[in-house]
Amino acid sequence: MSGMPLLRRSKLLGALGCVAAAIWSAVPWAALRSENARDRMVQKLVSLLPDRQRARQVGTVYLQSSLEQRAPPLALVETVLAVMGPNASSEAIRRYLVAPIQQELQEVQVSVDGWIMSPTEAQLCALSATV
Amino acid sequence: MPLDAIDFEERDGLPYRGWPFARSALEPWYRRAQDVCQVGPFDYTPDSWGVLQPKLPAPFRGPHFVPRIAQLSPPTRFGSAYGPELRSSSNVTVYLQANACHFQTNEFGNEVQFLSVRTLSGHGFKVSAKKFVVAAGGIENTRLLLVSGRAEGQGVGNGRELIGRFFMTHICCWTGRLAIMDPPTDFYFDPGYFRTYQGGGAPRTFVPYIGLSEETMRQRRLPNIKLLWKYEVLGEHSNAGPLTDFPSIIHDMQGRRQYVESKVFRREGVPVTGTKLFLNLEPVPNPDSRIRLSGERDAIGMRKVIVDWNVTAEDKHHGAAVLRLLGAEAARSGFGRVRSLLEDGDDDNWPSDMYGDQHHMGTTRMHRDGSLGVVNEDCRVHGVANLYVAGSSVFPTAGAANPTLTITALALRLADHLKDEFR
Repeated sequence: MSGMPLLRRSKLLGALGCVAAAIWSAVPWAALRSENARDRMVQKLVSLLPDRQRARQVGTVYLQSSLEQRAPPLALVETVLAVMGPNASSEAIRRYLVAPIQQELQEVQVSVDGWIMSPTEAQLCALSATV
Repeated sequence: MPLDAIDFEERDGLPYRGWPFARSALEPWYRRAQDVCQVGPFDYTPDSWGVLQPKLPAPFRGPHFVPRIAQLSPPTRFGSAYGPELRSSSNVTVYLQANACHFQTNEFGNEVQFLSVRTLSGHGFKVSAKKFVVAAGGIENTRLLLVSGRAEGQGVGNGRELIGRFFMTHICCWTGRLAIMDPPTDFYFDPGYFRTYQGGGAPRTFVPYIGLSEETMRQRRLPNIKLLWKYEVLGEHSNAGPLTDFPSIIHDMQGRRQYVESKVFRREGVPVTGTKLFLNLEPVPNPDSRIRLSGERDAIGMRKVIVDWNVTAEDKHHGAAVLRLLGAEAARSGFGRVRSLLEDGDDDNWPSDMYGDQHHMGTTRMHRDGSLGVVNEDCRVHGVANLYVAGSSVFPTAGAANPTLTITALALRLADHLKDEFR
């Protein structure tokens, strides 16, 4: 029988196992899981606006504007994730967003190319522009 | 239509506002002015004209935006309506084609001695009287006072150089578009469209419009407005651009069906897509908006005027705030979406069709204090014992109402005051 002696092979496999374990433990699984959850939430939020192309146009204008009150679109994702959790359905998210949008319309509005809207609506459009 | 009670008030955050008396003090003459102007009863409650608030779209049932109505006169042609009465009067003489050119005052400038009159054919004469009333129009009142007085002076009653300042007209423009999510097909509420009210008695013409509630004007420190609209039907979008379909983007967010397409498909109703919004905005009284004398002279030798109408950044902010509030209310109620043309952030840049209307006001403004006004609460020129002014030039605040009824009410009030003085 040719090849490495059995003892050497076992040692090598053991070493490889250690390296693999070290690599495995070094991977930020929690972060990746959270990244996945964030991506899925972005998709769910963007799906609330059926006309993606037009929403993207609005979002692009919003992102290019110099509005003082402009909110980063990812902040919306984090908020909805924190409140609704990663498994919330699109319909549940839509229902959840109605109240803050109504509240914002009463208190603070933004103007995107003249259209008066709530910051959350503008953030949704901006998300469309970023994916 | 009369001015609103709030138009007569001094208000926080809005300088130079307020009349020397409340609207209630003018109401007896407003009621008489209704007859003079040949309009209906002194009743401007929309309900009385068949405009019932519960039947209106949600954004216009308050608390911010409310329905209003303006009555329309036939119109009244004062010459033909009241000429015969003047002709038959034993104590009134009317001179036509005779131009009042100059009030001569005594050496102290505190009393008018006579009025010089000239005609285009070169004739002239003088008129002496115990009291004089200038009632030549919003701009001409000012011109006549500025050219009068002692030679090389600055006009009669103009010691504080206030005559000609605070020139106001209503600021008018198409300010945006309201895309309606679920447009009505009965057109029950047509702000800006002439309507006829048939209830009780002869048919009367009026125009419904949208106003701000007094509470909202106070809380948000906004001036008065008249908001009118013009319906747009499918294919009539006037503001083509990449974002014109924002309402369709958020349609599903609000769980609403695409109204217009379904109506067209089923051939139901009128395929209204939205309305163009016309804003008539009360201006901020501005001392730098003024009428001055020009070096040029007209056919009878009087100096012409230069009208230097100035709107302010504050005016623009007010217009933008009104549109923003309407946008929020329309969106919150699900009625529609507003695109404002006053949101570009440049205070000097108004829509290109912005103009001042024919309501010229403010240049001989009324104030109890002679350092802040040209005439006192009796419309007498401060510092001149026998000279009075009638007309919209005495308005210290413009409001949003058309001024004719208030001009007439003030003239009737002044006439009563003079009658008392002569007793």
